[in-house]
Amino acid sequence: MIITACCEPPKLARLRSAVGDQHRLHVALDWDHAHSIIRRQPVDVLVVDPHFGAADAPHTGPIRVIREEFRSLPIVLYAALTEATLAPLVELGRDGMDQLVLYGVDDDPRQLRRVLERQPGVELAEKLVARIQPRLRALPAEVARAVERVIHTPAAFKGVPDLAAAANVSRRTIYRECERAQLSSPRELIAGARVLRAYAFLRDGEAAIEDVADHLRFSSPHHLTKTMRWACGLTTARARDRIAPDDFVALLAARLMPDSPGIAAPSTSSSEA
Amino acid sequence: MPIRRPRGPKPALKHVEFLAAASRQPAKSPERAELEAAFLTLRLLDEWIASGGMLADPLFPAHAATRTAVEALSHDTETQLVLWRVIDAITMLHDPDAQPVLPRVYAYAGLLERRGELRLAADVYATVSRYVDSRAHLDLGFDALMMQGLCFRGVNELERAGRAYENAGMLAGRAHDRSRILYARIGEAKVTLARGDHATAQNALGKILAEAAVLGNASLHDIALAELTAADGSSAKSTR
Repeated sequence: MIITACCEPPKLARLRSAVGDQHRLHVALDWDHAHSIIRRQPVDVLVVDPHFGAADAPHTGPIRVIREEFRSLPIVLYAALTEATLAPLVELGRDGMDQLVLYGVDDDPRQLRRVLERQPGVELAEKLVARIQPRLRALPAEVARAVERVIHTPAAFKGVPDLAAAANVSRRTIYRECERAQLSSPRELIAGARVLRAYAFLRDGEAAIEDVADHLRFSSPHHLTKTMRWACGLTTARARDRIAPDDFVALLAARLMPDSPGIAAPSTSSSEA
Repeated sequence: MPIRRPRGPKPALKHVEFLAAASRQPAKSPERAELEAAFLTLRLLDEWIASGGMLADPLFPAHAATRTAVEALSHDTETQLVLWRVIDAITMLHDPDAQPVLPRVYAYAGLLERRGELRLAADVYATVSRYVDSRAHLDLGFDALMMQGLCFRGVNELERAGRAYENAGMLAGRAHDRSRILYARIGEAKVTLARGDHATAQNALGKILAEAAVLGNASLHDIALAELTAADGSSAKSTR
């Protein structure tokens, strides 16, 4: 798991002890740096502190901006329960930020680690990367890293040009490299990463399909359903209710690795993505 | 056909109503302390269910912090007692199993409701309906949703009230419990009435009354009749 932290030093220290050697932690120096990290690195979870970068009172503006920009990135609020933080927590909580770690209460390393690990999509992204690893090895290192990034942080990729830029190659080259490695097209890789995140949000939370589609910037619930059908052969509601997470990853991996011997891709047209 | 899932609320921080209420109280006031203790207790329950038995250990930091907050509520022993009962159940069970704890959570919601704290009560009832296994505990799941509907209606949150009643009806429908389906429909009719649509509400209540008569459920019939009479009365008032 790869975490980016926008926290004041005392909270950062606790976060470091929770993350340990098992996971990676990127530390942001300020909010601009946090944006830059998310654009350049794979990030599974963002931990934000309303006091981060605030000279006096905690503020919610930078958190709202980053959340709006990278909607599918799970964000955990990390704050103390104090007079100063109550109003910001209410504001962000009502705005849909549903993950909170209370400083000095919930941040025992074991508990904090569990909270981070159970964020939507973290585990599934790792499983998907592991499944398509044989094909990733056939890619040039920079392209493989970019594909891993898109699976971990789909929020940072709006389209193929972003993926090509992350891989430091041209758009045509990335298409050619994916074809050579017998992977789906870059466009489908991005669609797969987004639909995996959508599935994770739907399985983990109580949110309605319409809300998840809107939150993850699908143009409509219908578009999400089309992509879901392409990924696993079922509608969004049926995929959520009937496909176990490991099976979903297996189906999606089969879709992203066409012509895999012994793996059947879902039976819908790939043009739907 | 896939089973219809109850509609969930828009994503928000769980128990945010407690924080909102706390932010309106003076710092270090007993009221603030009470709201924060309840917030911590409900979070302890959530975390215990999500993260496992380590949260049941009284020495675990999150658990210890919650106990300290509840211990400080000596000015309100009724709240203190009901919160202790939730925490004690978690401690005794150790491994997460929400079902035996939920009646105690429901009792806390009832206490808040009696005190007129309807938004807070609705939040706690929502906690019950979130975790209840309604296949095994239909009564608790159904009642929690109906009470949510009542509380939301009390604070004029009609959309959320309507959703709660609709979800209650869905639960009852899954269990083929005709009486409960009609109770939920009465709730929906009351929401329609509160929206000012007297004709639709009267029509719905009339149908419920007829179905209750067929079902032979006297209590349900009486309730539907009383609601219809009230609806007729308010309709007459509004046309005057």
